[in-house]
Amino acid sequence: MHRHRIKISIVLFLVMLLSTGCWDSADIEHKDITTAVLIDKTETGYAFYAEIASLVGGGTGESSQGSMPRSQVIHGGGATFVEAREALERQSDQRIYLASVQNVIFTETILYSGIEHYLYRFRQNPEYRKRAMVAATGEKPEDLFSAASEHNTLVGLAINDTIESLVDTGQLYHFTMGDVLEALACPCKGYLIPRVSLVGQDVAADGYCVMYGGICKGYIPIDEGKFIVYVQGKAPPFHYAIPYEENSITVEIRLKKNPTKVDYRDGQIKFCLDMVCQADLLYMKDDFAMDAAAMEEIEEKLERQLTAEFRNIVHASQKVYGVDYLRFHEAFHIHYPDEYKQVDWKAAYPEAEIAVDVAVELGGGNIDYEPEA
Amino acid sequence: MNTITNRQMVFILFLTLTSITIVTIPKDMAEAAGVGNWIPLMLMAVLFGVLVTVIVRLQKAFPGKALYDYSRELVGKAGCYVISMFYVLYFLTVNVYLANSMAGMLKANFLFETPHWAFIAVGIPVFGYLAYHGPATVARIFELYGVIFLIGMLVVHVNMLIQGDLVNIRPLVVPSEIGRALGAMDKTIIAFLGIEVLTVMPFAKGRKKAPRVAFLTLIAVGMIYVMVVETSIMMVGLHEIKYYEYPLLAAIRQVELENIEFLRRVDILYLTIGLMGIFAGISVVYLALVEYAVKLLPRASRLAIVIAAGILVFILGLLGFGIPDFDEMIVNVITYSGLAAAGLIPIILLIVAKGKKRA
Repeated sequence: MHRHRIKISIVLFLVMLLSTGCWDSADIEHKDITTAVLIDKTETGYAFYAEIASLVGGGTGESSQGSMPRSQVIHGGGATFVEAREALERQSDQRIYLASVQNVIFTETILYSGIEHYLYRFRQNPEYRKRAMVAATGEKPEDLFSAASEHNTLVGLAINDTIESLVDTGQLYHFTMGDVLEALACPCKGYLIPRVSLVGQDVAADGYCVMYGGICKGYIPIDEGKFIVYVQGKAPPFHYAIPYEENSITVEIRLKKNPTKVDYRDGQIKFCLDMVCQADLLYMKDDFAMDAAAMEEIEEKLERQLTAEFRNIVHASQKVYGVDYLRFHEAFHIHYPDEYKQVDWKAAYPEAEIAVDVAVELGGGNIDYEPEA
Repeated sequence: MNTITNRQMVFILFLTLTSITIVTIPKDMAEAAGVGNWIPLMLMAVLFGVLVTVIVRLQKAFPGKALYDYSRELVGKAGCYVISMFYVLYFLTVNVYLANSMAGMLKANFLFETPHWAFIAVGIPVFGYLAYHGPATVARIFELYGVIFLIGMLVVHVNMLIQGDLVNIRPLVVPSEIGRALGAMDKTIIAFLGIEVLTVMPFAKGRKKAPRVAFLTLIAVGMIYVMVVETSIMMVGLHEIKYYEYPLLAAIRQVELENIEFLRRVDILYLTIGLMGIFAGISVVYLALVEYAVKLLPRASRLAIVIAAGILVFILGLLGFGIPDFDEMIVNVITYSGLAAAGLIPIILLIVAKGKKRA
């Protein structure tokens, strides 16, 4: 009995010891829970902005309106990232907690001057979650945060929700800080960072910043970059309007990307982007008679139009920016691993021949259009 | 009965081999063998599969006995003493390495402010408690631990397989890089060391299937390593993974189980289940150290040896943290001495036993 009590005491002592979290134990009230970090380039160096979620005010329901603000924004600047971070710490009354960061936002100013050094810093910080989403903005940081403050929302969450909803509808693709680091480590890989701006007081995605290494090479408006998502290969069905005679015919398109065909002969790299498209008629004018000939004609037109859309995307990537953010190097690496090591991809990619092959199969959907009598 | 069953042997091998190596091996293999990392891993699994059958055949030939007991019959008292001393020093080194690696991993990834010594100080009573109760108790606990660890691991890695990018691990074979892959075999040795703990686990009479089961377990462990390395590369990328000292954790941190609310932070799941696996792995090595020491010092009480071993591991662990490149140095020592502990000595003993018609 005595021995048993000693054993239980030892176990209890160990459990108590283990559950304290040792030297890292800290109450949540004693940490600044950061939901978004914004990095800017200033005239004197760099600036960090951190959006700190309020633990006592806010809330998510209607009761939160008019109560204490849901967040506060602190910022610090300095000649280097270290100095900027130290300045930020001085602004903070508690220790900054970074594992809760939902979104890392870069201003366009820093994207054009280079974020490579910051990314190395991010990679080495185990507190950050690499799943944090990434966004760019052309807005002034103060404007972005004050808009959120007026709505009593959190910028990090608002940007995440905006991007996620566009990912769900196939207008953007999911891109995290982990993906940025992966792209940075590969000398062949370009990447795109979604750009957000303010429309009135609301956050909206308006395009992509084209990145190579840590430098921004340009900007693609969201309308022009629509088909990039489909080249990446994972996207939900989308609606597409095609003019036909006097009508505008709307179809729902499901695109499936087949493995990209690659050929490498006499130093010439050739790709064939092979897309298979299942299109279903959705709606059109009521007095339009749809027959087999019209279906075939629409099918051909759709094929031509989608091919042109994809060609534009490829052309912009090769000739306008010279950056392989469409991931053609991956197909080349898989098919020609030895040659891949010899090729200077940055120089070879713009010269590669890329054909686009779109096969469309048009179906009637579940509607039956007959001309009105 | 102080013997282990085949099922217990499977989980002992599984938990011992995968304990800490599983966290670091994706970086080593990606750097050394690139996309062909699975080739040296599976070849080494086969090689160590053969070595484990040697140990199991020896244990089987001497039912109810550990290596210390039958080596006395096979190579005499002096030979037995030398072999046992070697195993004591070897398991002590492995213990220090594992305890320090565990402390280093926890500090670098989860508990940044906690000093290294605190992790070892908390761990040693747990390892000691298990070691004190002997092989049969440890084996029974491992049956439970092993199942939980295996399920947790499968949940995490299947999700990594789904969420990761298959392109990162293709092509699976680059003919011109097969030489490089074979050259990386020495990097995989440390991952398969641990089979030598079976030398302190007595087997019951019979157990005809034990050698085959042990061999298949090593093949399964090889496949688990391949799964861990490949899924980590799928998540983090072949080029990026080399920047992380603990790449499995970096990869796990990118996984999100969106449909299971309480498991959204998968790294926290790893902190509990994975840490349990590491504790189990270290415990069995601690047990091996204690078992050999108890045989060498028959007059000393088991409790005194358990406590002394703990103090020794703690002090050597602290000293290790003060030595630059300690990890690299100790890994080299363990790799070569481990080949003797897991391969050379059991093979010699098996040959002698054959000569004496005991195996």
